[in-house]
Amino acid sequence: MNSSDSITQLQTLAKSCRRGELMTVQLTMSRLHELLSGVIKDGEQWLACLTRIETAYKSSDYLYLADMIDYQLIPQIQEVVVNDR
Amino acid sequence: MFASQFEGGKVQQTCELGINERLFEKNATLVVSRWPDIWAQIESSSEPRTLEVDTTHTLPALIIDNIHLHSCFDTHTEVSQQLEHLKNVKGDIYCYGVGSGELVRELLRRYPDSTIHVVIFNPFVFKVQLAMYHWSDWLQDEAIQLHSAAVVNDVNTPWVVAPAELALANESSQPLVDKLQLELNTDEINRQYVKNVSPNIDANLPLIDKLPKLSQLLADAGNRFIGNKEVTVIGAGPSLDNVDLSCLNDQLIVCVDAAFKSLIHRGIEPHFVVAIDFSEKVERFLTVEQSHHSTLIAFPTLCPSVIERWQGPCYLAFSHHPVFHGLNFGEQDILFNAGSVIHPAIDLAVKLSNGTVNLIGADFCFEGTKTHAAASDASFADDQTLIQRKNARGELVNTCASLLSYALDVERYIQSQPDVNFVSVSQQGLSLAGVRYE
Repeated sequence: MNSSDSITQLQTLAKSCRRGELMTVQLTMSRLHELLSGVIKDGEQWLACLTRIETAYKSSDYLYLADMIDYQLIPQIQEVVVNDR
Repeated sequence: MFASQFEGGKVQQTCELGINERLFEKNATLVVSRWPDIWAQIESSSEPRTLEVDTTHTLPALIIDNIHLHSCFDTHTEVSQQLEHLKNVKGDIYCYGVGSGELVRELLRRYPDSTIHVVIFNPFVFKVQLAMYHWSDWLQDEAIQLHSAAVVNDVNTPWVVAPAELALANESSQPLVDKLQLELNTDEINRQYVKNVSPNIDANLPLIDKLPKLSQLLADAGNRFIGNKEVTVIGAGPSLDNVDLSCLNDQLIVCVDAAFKSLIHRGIEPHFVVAIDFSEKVERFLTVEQSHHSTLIAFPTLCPSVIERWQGPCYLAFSHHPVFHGLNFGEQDILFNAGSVIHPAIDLAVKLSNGTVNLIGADFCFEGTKTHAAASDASFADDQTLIQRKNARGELVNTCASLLSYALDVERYIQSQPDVNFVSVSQQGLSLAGVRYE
């Protein structure tokens, strides 16, 4: 999956979190690592972000999960894309 | 005095976190004057909740039991996305939960002629919010009406949800939370359903014109037994294993696909088997070799090989779902279906019964880790998140979102059949409104 597709699907996931659509959230979260394959890089910043996302999911903190995706994870993906060009 | 309001929620912490006494008094005064009954619930509420304020991002956000009540970055985008659930606004609007309060303000801005019914799910959570947010503007607005979720029986439309508060609801608000969650999941449920069943419907197209349909069964059966007997619907829930089935003499038996093998193992050949399952694994519990004496009521969503190999009579049934639009069937061929095979099985039973429908194995919950009756060979996906609800005995049991949604749709169906007595012989399953337990 390319970075543009990943970002679109992550934005959809964040939106579902904000709207309380838990079934969509559960289905997409189970594919999170698949969504990030090819985009994610090694490094503390990535790891910290993914840990926050998984912790938020486990504690049903879905609005924070949406925040982490939109305001931390996606900007990091966009940064990687720019650097890779 | 102010601190005593938060005895359940770690008083010292709330004060350190900047929860504001003057703000609380200002908001509370408005609630007291406009909704004294709700204030009484708020004032007496006390729960051992963990309260924090997240100040590490752009906006401070209240966190209760590790759940943020709204975005720490952009409440405008958050509210805009939540408002997309609003459809066909004409008159009153129902706002379930409050969040930061921005959702209510935006509703007032966008729909100045509407009454906004704000529903609160937990008086203690609301009390904390009153001490945290400047809400006097909307609390004094004449267009706002405040309600407690505990006395709201169903989801009114058009609706919008601040979802964090669903996770913090108190026990008496839980029935409404479950109904809202079903509404929130409906689009996804439909997406999955269409994706899963479309290939089977296509494969079954040649059979749709060949096979007789439900209307023909009801016409053929009319003089023989419709309305003469009690009908028992047998689901595949774990409680089926604990019920003495000798009581089924002289009753018509309608079973769901996943219960067929269990009944055959116990020497019972059901009169009717209702089947909708799209997956090939249905062949494991719809054992066609033993199907000579049972009539299959098949939806075109059923795995084609089962329909082709069934030994007894077979009739096709449909539902109102758009996935069946364009197929050749009439109104009398339709059975109620909201996602579970138990729905059309109950509807068929009502159509055949003398006014009493018995339910066995219609549990909508698990027995420990057991999801189905012993021989059914059906199972749920392992990734289902477990939820706890009370069964008809008042015991907490495990269930999951899909089973809860099926149960709610059974309740709605039962409510639409005031002339039928619904009786369950087991109290092991979830308590269903409208069912008498024996």
